[in-house]
Formats: sequence, structure tokens, C-alpha cells
Amino acid sequence: MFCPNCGTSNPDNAGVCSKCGTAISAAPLAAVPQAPMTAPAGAPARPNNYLVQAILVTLFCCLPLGIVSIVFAAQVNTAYDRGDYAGALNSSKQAKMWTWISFGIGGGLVAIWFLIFGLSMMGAIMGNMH
Amino acid sequence: MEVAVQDRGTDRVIAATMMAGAAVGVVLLYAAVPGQSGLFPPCPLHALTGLYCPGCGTTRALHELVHGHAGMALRLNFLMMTALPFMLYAAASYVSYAFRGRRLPTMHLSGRAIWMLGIVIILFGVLRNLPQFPFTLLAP
Repeated sequence: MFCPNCGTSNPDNAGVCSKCGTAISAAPLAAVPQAPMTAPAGAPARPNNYLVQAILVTLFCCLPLGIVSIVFAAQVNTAYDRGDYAGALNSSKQAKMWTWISFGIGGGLVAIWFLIFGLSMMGAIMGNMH
Repeated sequence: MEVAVQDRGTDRVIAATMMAGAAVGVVLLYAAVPGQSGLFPPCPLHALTGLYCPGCGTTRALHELVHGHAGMALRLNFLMMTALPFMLYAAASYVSYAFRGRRLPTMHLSGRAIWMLGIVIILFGVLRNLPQFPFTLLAP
């Protein structure tokens, strides 16, 4: 790398310039390609992406609804990492809406399913009491 | 940064209900045998189509798990048992938020990682329905 002060070429692991003694470090170069692990100072907190709810819906109830929710969860994080906080917030709202839609439809289906199996379940509970 | 004061009353009720539900669930899972007792309804998709969904085998897997048979649990639903520690952590984080106002430290996933997660779930759902050998291990 080159010394920012005098322009002399130095080994990449050099702490100071071999010619003028200016402190140099390879750290800024290495940091560039990495995705930001933490938001820059002053950035708003990442909006909720409802990923856990999305995965629970996918696994336990309604795969298509769950996949839609997972896609919106991904969009929240993608937009946020890009620095698009308004976009992240918008995707978060969409994700929340789909969580509620899934909750409504899923809850309804589960209720119907439990009603169908209600007799068998009652039987099992009564049987265990004897 | 000062966190805005929020009313977490509803969250406390939900968190408490969740924990009580989990406790009842563990007792039921310990006492009853899924598929034989009639207490746990079967998976609707499997009952209607004969296909396994990504969640099929979860009740049986949890039944094995509360009896200490981790191997059998993994055999019944590998994906769900792998995800279980993360789900428990997420639940613990929510309980911490509801009662202490602070979430547990979380890992930030990239949008791409979340996409991969969705694809893995679908792939798991497809592969466990294949009748050839290595995939039959994934079937419940």
C-alpha cells in the first residue's frame, strides 16, 4: 500500500511508512467490502421483520402464506442494509399485515380441524380419566 | 439511545399465556402418544393428500424429545428439531422484552440469508416426499 503522506510504497502489513514514518494501516481497505453488521450511528433501529412468525406459519399452517411473509421479512433486512429505512419500514408493514392474514386464516383452519377431531379428542380425554 | 416508553401490558399477557401454553403442551406431549391417543389431531395436509408438509412429524418428534430421545426426534423432523433452539431463543427474547423491556442480543440476517431459509424449508418439504433412499430418512 502507499503512504498517504509521501506516496512511498510500503508492505501491506506495515504500521508506519518506511520513508517518512507516518502511521499507516490497511484496516480501511479491508473494511470496505463487508456488509454492515451494525447500522451507522444515527440510523433508526431496524423495523421488525416478523421472521419468526413467518417461519412458524410456513411450518405449521399455511406454506404459501408463510413464504409470502418470509419474502417480506427478507425485504425488510435487504432495504435496511442498503440504508433505505423508509423501504424497510414499508416492507415491515407488509410483513405485519401478512402475519395477521396468516393468523386469521390459519387460526380459522386450525379451529375447523380441531372441531373435526373434537370428538376423538374428547374421547381420549375421557378415556384417560378412567 | 433512549428507548421510547411503551405500554407492554399486552405483551406481558401474551408472553405469560405462551409460557403457560408451553407448560401444558410439555405435560400433554409427555403423557399422550401422538397418533395413538387421539389427543393430537393429525396434519391436515397429510390426512387429505397423503403428502408430508415441512412440519409433519413435529408432534411425534416433540413427544420423543420430552422423553429424552433426541435421535428419534431428529429422525422424525430434522428441520424442526434444528430450528427448535432458535425458536426457543426467540420466545425467550420476547418474554425478556415483555417483562424487562429488553430483548436478548440478536444476530442480524441479510435479506439473502432469509431467502435461503425459505428455500431450505420448501426443499425440505419436497425432498421428504421422495420415495428414494437418502430422502426417505427425512420422512417422518
